[in-house]
Order: sequence, then C-alpha cells, then structure tokens
Amino acid sequence: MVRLKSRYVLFEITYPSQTLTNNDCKQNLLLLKHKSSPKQINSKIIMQEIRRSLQLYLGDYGYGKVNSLLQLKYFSNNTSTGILRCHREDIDLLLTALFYINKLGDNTNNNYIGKLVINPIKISGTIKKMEQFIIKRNDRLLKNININQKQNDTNDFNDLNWANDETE
Amino acid sequence: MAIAPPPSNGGKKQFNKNQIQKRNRVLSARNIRTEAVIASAKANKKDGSNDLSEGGTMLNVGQFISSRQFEIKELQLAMHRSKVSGSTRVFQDLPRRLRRRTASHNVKRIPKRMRNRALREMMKNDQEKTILKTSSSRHGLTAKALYKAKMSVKLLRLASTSTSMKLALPPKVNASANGVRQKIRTLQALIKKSRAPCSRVKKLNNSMGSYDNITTNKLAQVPHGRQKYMKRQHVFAWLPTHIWNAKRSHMMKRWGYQIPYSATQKCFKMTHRIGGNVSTSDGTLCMDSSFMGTIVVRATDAKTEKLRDLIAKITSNRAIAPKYYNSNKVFSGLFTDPLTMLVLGPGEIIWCNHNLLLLRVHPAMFQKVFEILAVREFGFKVEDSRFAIGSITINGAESLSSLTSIIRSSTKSESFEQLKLISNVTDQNILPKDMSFSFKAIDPRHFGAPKKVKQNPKEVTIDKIMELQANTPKNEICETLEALCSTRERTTSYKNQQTMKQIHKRRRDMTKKGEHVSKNAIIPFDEKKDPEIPIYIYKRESTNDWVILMPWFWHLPFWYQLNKIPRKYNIGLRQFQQLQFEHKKLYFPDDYPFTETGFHENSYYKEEVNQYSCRASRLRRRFKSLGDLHKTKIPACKYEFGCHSSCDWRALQILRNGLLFLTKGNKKLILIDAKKTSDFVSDDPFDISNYSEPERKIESLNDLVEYTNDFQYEEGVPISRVPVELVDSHLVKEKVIRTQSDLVKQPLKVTAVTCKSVERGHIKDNARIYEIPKDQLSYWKQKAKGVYSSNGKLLHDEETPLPEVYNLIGFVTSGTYDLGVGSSTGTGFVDHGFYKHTDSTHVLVRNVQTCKYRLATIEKIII
Repeated sequence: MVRLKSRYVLFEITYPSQTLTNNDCKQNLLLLKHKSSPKQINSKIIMQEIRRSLQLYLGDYGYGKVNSLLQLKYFSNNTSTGILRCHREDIDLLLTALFYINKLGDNTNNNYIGKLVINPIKISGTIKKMEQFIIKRNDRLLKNININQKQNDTNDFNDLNWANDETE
Repeated sequence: MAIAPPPSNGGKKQFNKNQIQKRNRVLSARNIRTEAVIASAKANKKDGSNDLSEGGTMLNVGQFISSRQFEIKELQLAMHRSKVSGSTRVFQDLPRRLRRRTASHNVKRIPKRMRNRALREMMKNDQEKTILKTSSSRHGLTAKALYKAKMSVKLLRLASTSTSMKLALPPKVNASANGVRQKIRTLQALIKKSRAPCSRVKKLNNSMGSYDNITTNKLAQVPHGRQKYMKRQHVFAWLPTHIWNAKRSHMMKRWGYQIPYSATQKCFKMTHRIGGNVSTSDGTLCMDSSFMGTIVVRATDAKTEKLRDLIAKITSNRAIAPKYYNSNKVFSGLFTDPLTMLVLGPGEIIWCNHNLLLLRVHPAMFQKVFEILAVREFGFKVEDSRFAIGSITINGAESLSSLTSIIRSSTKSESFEQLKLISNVTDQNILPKDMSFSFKAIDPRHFGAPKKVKQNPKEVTIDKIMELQANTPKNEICETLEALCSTRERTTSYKNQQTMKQIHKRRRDMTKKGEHVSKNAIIPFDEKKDPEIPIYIYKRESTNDWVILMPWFWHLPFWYQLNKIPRKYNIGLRQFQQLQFEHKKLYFPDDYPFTETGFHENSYYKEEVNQYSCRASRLRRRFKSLGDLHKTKIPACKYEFGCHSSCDWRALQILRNGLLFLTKGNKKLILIDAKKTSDFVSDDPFDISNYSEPERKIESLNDLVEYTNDFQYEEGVPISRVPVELVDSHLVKEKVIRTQSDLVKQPLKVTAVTCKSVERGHIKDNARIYEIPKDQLSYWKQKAKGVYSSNGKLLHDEETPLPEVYNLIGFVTSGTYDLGVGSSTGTGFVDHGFYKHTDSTHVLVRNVQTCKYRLATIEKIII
C-alpha cells in the first residue's frame, strides 16, 4: 500500500506598513513586518480565507483538489506563525492561493482585517522536521535579541536581518 | 421474515472502545498548544493593532521573547508527545543503542531507572516475566569450585554409566577394591590444605585479581581471566573489554585475539561524521586497541649504542632522529627486517630514555618484531608487555574534552595542566605536532559521573598553545613513562585496587558525613591508600587520533567511565579502516601488499573468505555469461586474469616483469603463437639421468599467462617472498629482467595510489586497474568530458572499447563509496613502470566479476 504523502507549509502573517521609507526598511524591518495577530484571527477564519482564495483564483478544480487534505495544524496569534498541511501534489496550488490573500475575515461578522501578507517560509515533508525548524528559527531570533541587548542595551534592533536569511 | 438492515455507519469503519481511546490519545498528542492571545490594554482596539510594537516603533521585548519561548517549549513538547503517544512500553523511549533483546519480558535488559515502570507495565498486561533470582539465594561455592564440582560430577557419571568404560577396566578393578573413596578423601584433604596460606605463593596486592603479566625474551602467556571462561581464551585472548564489546560489536578471531570488528549498530555515516571532519564532528569514537602488541626493550648502559643501532636498522635511520631520540616524541613509520630488508609493516616507537623504549606494533607482525629484538647476542631485556599495557584509541572533535572529564591527576602535575588547557579544543590540527602527556592519574571510578574540566575558553590563546611545545614537562613525562614500562610500578599501581562495592561504600559514607555532598561527587584521593595509575596519552598525526596507554587491568575502569559520556560511540577495526580510507591513508594489513602480512592477507586470507562467502549459489557468478573481459582473447586466460576473488600480486608481478622480458631489446610483443607445438623447453627428451622439472618456454603473452597459472599453488620454487615492493621515491633502480627465472625472483615495484571514479561506477575491493591503451586515448578523453546522446542526456552505460590483458597495471586493495569525496574511491597499488612513460592521471577500473570498465583518476599516496 502506498502511504499518503503530504507537505507541511510554515507561514507567517505579516502586516507591512503602508508608509515604508528607505530608512525604515533598513532599520526597523522586524518591527514593521512582524506583529502579533489580533485575536479575531483564528484558525477558522484563516481556513475560510484560504478556501475562498482557492475557489476564486483556482476554481472548482483547485478548491476540490486542495481542500481534500487541507488542514491547519497550528496557528499562534502571538507569533503570527502557523503550519498548514496539504497533499504533496497540491502544494503549488496552495502556495498560489496563499499568495493572493491580502485580508482575513469580512465586515459582516465584524472581524475584518486587511493589509496583510501570508508569507510561506518553509515547506517540509514531515511535521517533525517543521517543528525542529521553527524551534531553530526562534532560537536564532532570541539569540540575536540577546546579543543586541548586550551590545546596545537598548531596544534598537539595527542588525536584525534574521527574517531574510531563511525566507526564500 | 424481514432481516434487519445492518446499522448504518456512513461507510466508515467502526472502532471499538479501545481503538477510539487510542485514536483520541494519538490525536490529542498531535495537537500543538498555542498561547492565549495577549490581553494588553491595547488589545481591544478596533483597528486590530494588537501588536507587539507600541506605537509602531518599539518592540515589547518581554512579551516578544516570552511568546517565542512558549512556542519553542510547546513544539518540543508536541514532538515528544507524538513520539511517546504510540508507545505502550517504557523501553520504546530508549535510543536504539540502549535497546536490548528480550527487554519486553526481562527486566534486567532495561536501564535501572526504568525498571519499576517496566514491572508495572508487565503486571498490567499479565505478561510473563523473567526475573532473575536476587543475590540472597546465592549458592555457597565460588565459580572455580563450582566449575570443578560440576566437572567431577560429570566425569563420575560418565565413568559409572558408560559400560564401555567399565568394560575397558580389568575384571577385578572396581571402586571398592581400589579404595576410590579413600583417594577422593585424600584429594579433598589436599584441596583443603591448598587453600590455607602458603609461603611460596605470592599474594596479589588487590582484591580485584589484577596482576602484571610479562615475560622477558619470550612470548607471554595469554591471561587466563575468570575460571568459568578460561577455555574460550586459550587460543584467542580476550581484550579487557571483551564482555562489554561482545554484546555490542561483531567480534573477530584473528591474530591471537578476539577483536571487535565492527559495532552492531549501523555506523557508516556516523563514523564519517564524527571521525572525519572537525566541523561536523560533535562526539567521540572509542576503540579498545589493546590488541596492538606492546614491547618494552631495556638495555644496560654499555649497550645503549647497540640499541640505537638496531632501532636505526629497523626503521631505516628514522627513529633515531633527535626529535624522537632526545625529545621523546612518538615515532610512527615503517619497520624493516634488518636481515632480509623486507618491510614488515607500520609501528610506533617511544623512547623513554636512551636505554628504554616502548614499541607498539600490529599483532600480525608482533612475533616477527619480537624475534628480531630478542636475539640473544644483543643482550637486551625484551619484555613482552602485550598483556601488561592496554590502550584506548579515541577520535573525534570531543575526544579531549571527554578524556579530561574522566581523568584527574593524583598530585599537581604540569602535564595534566597542559591537557586541561586544551581540553576544549576541538580541532586537533591547531595543536603542535606529536603532542604527548603523561602523569599519574587517580582511579577513574572515583567519579560518580564524568565531570568536564572547567576551562575559560578565553584562556586558550594561540600563544599559549604555541608555548605548550616549548614548556613540555619532559622530566615528568619520562618518569611516568618509565613507570608505565616497569613491572614493579605497574604492580604498585594495582595495590589496593578497589572493587566496585568498596567504592560505592566509600561514596555512601562520604555522602552520609557531608550533608551537601552530592551523590555524584568525586571521591577525594587518599594519598596513603589509593593507587596512582601511570598513563601516557599521545596524538597520532597519521591517523589523527589519540591513544591512551595504561596498565592492562586499569583499562576497564577507564573504559566504563568513558562510556558514560554522551555522544561517545563504540567503533571497531572496520570503522578504523573506514577512517583511514577516508583520510587517504593505508590501513594495515589490507593496504600493505608489499609486506609479508599484507600479501598474505590480500592473496590467501581474502581468497578464502571470499570463496566461502560465494558458496551460496545465488551469489556465484557465471563467468561465461559475462561477455568478453579483454579485447583479444588469450586462450590461457579464460576469464579473469589471476585469482578472481583476491588481489593476485604474484600474477601481476609475472605479467609486468614478463612484458619487460618479452619486449627486451625492442622486440615486438607476440600475443599468441599459433605455430607453437610444445609448452616446455626440453633439450633431450631421452636423457633420463638428467631429468628435472621441465621449464616452460616463454615466447608470447599466452605463455606468460600459462606461467602465472603454474604459480597459483606451486611451492618450493625460488621466488621472491613478496611479489611487490614499495617504490622508494629517492632511489629507483632500473630493474633488469634478464632470465626467465627473474620473472618471479624480481619483486615488482609498485606505487600506492587512490582512484576516484570520474562519473558512475562503484569501485569495490580487488578491482582491477588498467592503463588506457594508446589507440583508445581519444575515446576515453571524450568520455572524461562526457558522452551525450542525441537528446542531450549523458550516457553512462554505453559500450566501451576493451583494453588488453597486458594493460593491467594494478589492483585496488580497498574501495568503496567515500562520503567525504562524494563519489566512489579506492586505494590501490599500480606498477611503478606505468609512471615512466605516461603523465596521464586517468586509468580504467573494472570490478571483478563484471566486464564494465569505468574511467577513474589516480593520485599518488605518499607513505
């Protein structure tokens, strides 16, 4: 029997600010891009939005194909990161759908949140490796903060360019 | 009657209660918990700016860090939970190398800390238990007595039951007539008496049964070990760690020892990672290398010069260089037999002082070296210390830190301070060459658990490391080394060697007395009572590892402590060979065909082993179905040239020498002489008085191949003892093949090389190395660049032109996939003559029992 093979996507929700100056980009990238998600956002809303995006941009085919195994394994509001699971063959479709998302929720339910980007950071074949990756990533971030704190003893994170070195 | 329809379940499989429970457990274990949304004052803002940055510029560091830490913790927990949730028994949590057979019902196979839980689980499942009896009901006999009693009962029973035995005796001879009972009684009295202390018998100075086992000028006896296992150690001696290793390694009975051949666990990649490159290495590899033969040579003052001369002869003047002779560095290099000038193999020499030296050689060549040294005319005291000095070889980036976490010097020692300084250095290449340390250590069992040396990393500067060499405490090292070499000092080191029981008692007393003493604390060294162990630690440049020499019966305590260190792995000879191979170094004896031992290993031992393993019919290849191996079919060479399951150096010698012989004076090489009628030279066939073995007439290549076949099993012919000889790059004498008998008398000069496959191809042991025929050069040059098919794909397995038999230039002695290089490589030897008329670095390699030639590059190895 052939095993069901799936892929796990690590994503983070980022909230890019509207007014980005050049200086901002260099200095406060971390601050501007990374925020904790408001509590209106929950797994249900995220899934709804992904399904809507699938339906809208990939049609019935995309919706039906991807949705067969689509799961949100984990989502943390405080760190704005989450793990999605889908079938191995549908990973491209899912990423396309994520690309088109720029808002979550809707006005009727009073939980509309706009101007966001869902950024897929890593794709993995097993959830274990994904978990290990997140741990490593967080570890590096904390280490950077510690180093910065020791150096400057301020909250000015000039040298934090951690977010870019693993995002591809 | 209507049949009730089966209860509908929507086509889904119905689970029973247990299954549902298990399913729920697994599902909940897979769930990753998330932190509640931070409820700060701003969280309720409508625009959703519940972010970590207040006002968009500052980061709330506390929250930021805590939420990430929470995430890390939860993910780790989730990973752990999903791993554990499926398991029902405690030993399923253990890493592979701690798992044991029959752990499911035998509690003793489970680590002590888990035993209670394991018992509970067994009770729960009503499982059959194998619980060994506790010590309270132990019988009153010692192992020796029990063995004897059992044996005598067996013998008596045999004598009484076997009618043939009774019948063999004369009719009047029976038990009562001969007073058998009386005899037994007197025997028993004798035994009883012998137990009483006797003045002649030397009592051991410790309760562990440790004693120093050496003999002077003759080979030492194999240590007898425990009574119960005596018979198993008669021929093949057990190493100190035999019982430990027998459970964890495949053992090999060779060279008079039982040697751990390879760890039972798969470890090819692990060995490469930890033993190979420093940057990937994060552990230690340990091997019990006590099987290496140790010899201590002593000379009187009058014979100092003689000793120096002899060692100079053995090592071709190398080991008497001031670096070794005066500065006591460890010499490692080739040993030569001073009489025959044949290379014996690699060995190590440590000069303790000008009158005392310590040699370490491979057990395969031990006897030879011992005989050379122990010649009576020299008058040296040559001590066979094989079973008196043991050793551990360790490798890997963490080797020094793990070593220092189990070793402490008994008194303040300069050498130990040096070792401590570099204990955290992982890259041994930055240390000075040939470093060595020697000091008196305390019993390693004084440690409850290994303790790392506290060393400030900033203290280790390059200046300090440079100073290490200049400030070597030479006196201390020499003194301890002399102690290690002396029987008296080794025996003193066994004095008051404690049993585990005694050590535990000391620790218990210590913790009772001092309230704040932890259970794992080091038992303080008592100068008056506790033994001091002379140890010698040195770095080997050639193999990039550390060797620790210690008295034989102190080996095991060190070994057990070393095994408590995390990320320490056990390796055997096979892994040692792998490391040598990856470092492009030769491994004795497999890669030393120019020595007698290596030649024997290559030609006879491997042949035997391979033939034995090929007995299974599915492994046996049919040569006929292989196709042509060579371009021209030589009738005498049906399939493979020479032996097909080993490196046939004799055949190579005859072939390469024969080619010189046949083409002497610019003669053209004849492959097959069709006109020939007789194979042998015969002057006068009717002259019976002058009859001797007919000599083969060698005029063509075919005759040459016939000649090699003659030599497969022939004995008593004057031939060179070893068919190949390592070329000495300084003086390459032109070899002259004048007569036919020179073919086997003149050893072939060979060069050590490594081959690397250019594209596909898996080089295996015993593969054949061919030079590229001149007419095929253009084809193979193109092949090196890549031959493509019309659709742009690289061709790998297309038909290639075949070389001739006489293109054979060498063999691969050990070949496999090299993880460091990323392709298949092999270590081998080629005829030195090959280098004379070509600069090409390309050769063809073909595995035995295949007809596929693969292109490879070769590179010389400098020995």
